[in-house]
Amino acid sequence: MPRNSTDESLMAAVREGASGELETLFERHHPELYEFFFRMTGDRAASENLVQDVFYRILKYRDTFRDEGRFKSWLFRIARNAHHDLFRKHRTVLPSGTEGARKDKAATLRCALLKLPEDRRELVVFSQYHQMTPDEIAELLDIEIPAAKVRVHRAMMDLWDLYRTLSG
Amino acid sequence: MQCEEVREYLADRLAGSLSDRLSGAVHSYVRTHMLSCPECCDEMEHFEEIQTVLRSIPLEPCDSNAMHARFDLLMGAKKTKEPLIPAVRRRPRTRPLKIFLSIVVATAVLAFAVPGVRQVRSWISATREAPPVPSETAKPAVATVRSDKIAPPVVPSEMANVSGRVFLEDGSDISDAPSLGEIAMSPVGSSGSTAATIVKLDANGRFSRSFAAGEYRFRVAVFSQDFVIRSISAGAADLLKENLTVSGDSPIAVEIRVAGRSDIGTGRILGTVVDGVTNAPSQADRVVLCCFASEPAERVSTPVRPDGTFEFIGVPSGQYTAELRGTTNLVVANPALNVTSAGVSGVKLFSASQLVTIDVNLRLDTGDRLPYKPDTSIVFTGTNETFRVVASSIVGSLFRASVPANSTYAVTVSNIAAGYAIQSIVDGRMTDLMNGGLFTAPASTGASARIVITLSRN
Repeated sequence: MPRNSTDESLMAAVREGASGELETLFERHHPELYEFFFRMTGDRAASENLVQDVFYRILKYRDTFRDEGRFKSWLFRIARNAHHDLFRKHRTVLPSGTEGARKDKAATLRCALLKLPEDRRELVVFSQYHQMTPDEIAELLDIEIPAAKVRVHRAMMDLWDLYRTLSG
Repeated sequence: MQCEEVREYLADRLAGSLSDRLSGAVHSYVRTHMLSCPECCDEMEHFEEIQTVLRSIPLEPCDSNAMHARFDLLMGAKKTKEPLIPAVRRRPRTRPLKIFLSIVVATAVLAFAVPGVRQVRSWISATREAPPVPSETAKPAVATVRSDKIAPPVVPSEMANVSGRVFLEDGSDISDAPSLGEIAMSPVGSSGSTAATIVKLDANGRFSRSFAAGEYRFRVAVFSQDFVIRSISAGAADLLKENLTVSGDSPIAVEIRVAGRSDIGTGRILGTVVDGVTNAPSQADRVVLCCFASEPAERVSTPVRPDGTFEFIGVPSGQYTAELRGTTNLVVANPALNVTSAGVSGVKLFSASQLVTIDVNLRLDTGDRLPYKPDTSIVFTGTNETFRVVASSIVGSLFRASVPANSTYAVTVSNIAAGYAIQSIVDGRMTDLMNGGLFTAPASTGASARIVITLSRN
């Protein structure tokens, strides 16, 4: 399959048994997946593990990919589940060591972001780091577009409040 | 426009959809509302600060080699129908050891059983001493050892990772640009291009590579004609002018800001920013230009050089407001900038830690209102004779100016209508500002002051 094939056609090929096409999808998406997990966990090793876990799940659940759906939304749904599962299992481990980090604004905000509830943190990450549009967020979370906007707004307000509290 | 509507605008902006749906008229409404609503203005400023700081949180680079090796292992396991158990899953502690031992034993048996065994034997001993970045033959065993707990990246202590990203003026990432270009880093002092390390930018404008500690010249060696590079920075370092120092203890994140070629304006702004009281180069780190017609919150910034000079390039013509950023909070006393298509030069911005707003009223000595709309020029000149601002007409005979607090100014009034003469110029303390008296701007926070110019008929 040509290297410039769409994500959807590559994933359709993977579903039909051409698992080698997953390599192109890995090349295209592992950096943004890593960034998503790193922003969510603040932990590099855990993020690398989670990227691996996502591609394992893609292979395992490849039959659930539907042609009419967008690959990126499906991918991030898997990523959310992978993160959620890890968070549930290792609640005491993550997020990692930014407590007391008040050296600068970035450290304080990073700490505030990691302290946000998971569902709000991911909204900040999706909208601010992945520049996802309300349509994309709505599709990913399976909610209406106005609700996506409201949730992003609330998540940012919560982040601001936490940031202010931590800034003293 | 009501607060609810502005909040909807903010929600749109946060969710990244503003440029799709906000008309020029709404821009104007939002800006007008912001000027009169401190709550909405605060909220917008909070979000802008959050967005700015979020972007400054570094992304710790991943160990790309290890991730590729593990992916290859996953694909290998898939081909042989052996399910790979992901690293995040809990497993009995003995299993990784069993898997490792069984693979080592199996590989060793294979190694002794087939021709060409020496290379394989030497590889086994090498992996026991120090696991290298896996080669094609080595990948499965190395990755299996790592499958339960990832080892730290294989980066020698005297090396550091340099990663970077290309992004557009509005902060959005480049995507699906397969031939974006490549960057080159060459050690300072080296000659010729052979010493340069070339790293390709991926389709999303990212790159990552480890470099030995040292000082490098960073440049974008090849770049797509669709974009123009606006700035290259690593933290506070401007890599268009400075070298990049790689030290062995921390990763470096490089940011390459670009603009689409069709978005480039022709205007160039050359200017200086000085302290409004001392006339010394300002303490500000950056000058921020706000706002482009496309979006009220869109800003572009440029560093202030040690001598106080700054330069913007490719600014579309229009009206802008200058702001300052830095470790100390500074404001601009004369922020309005009118940029023509040819640009503007000789701009002199005056910075101050605090401004005092002065309302200047013109009135007749009879107590009546002026029978005409004055076109009077009212100039405040600092005692260092370099600070100079002209009061703007607000409404009717009211003018307004902002000057740095805690300093003194001479007030010059000219262009009085024919048939009228200035009788007196006094401030709130009844200081006579007409005959050599100086206006003293108070130092208190949020201070404002008033000056009355009394005219009489000739």
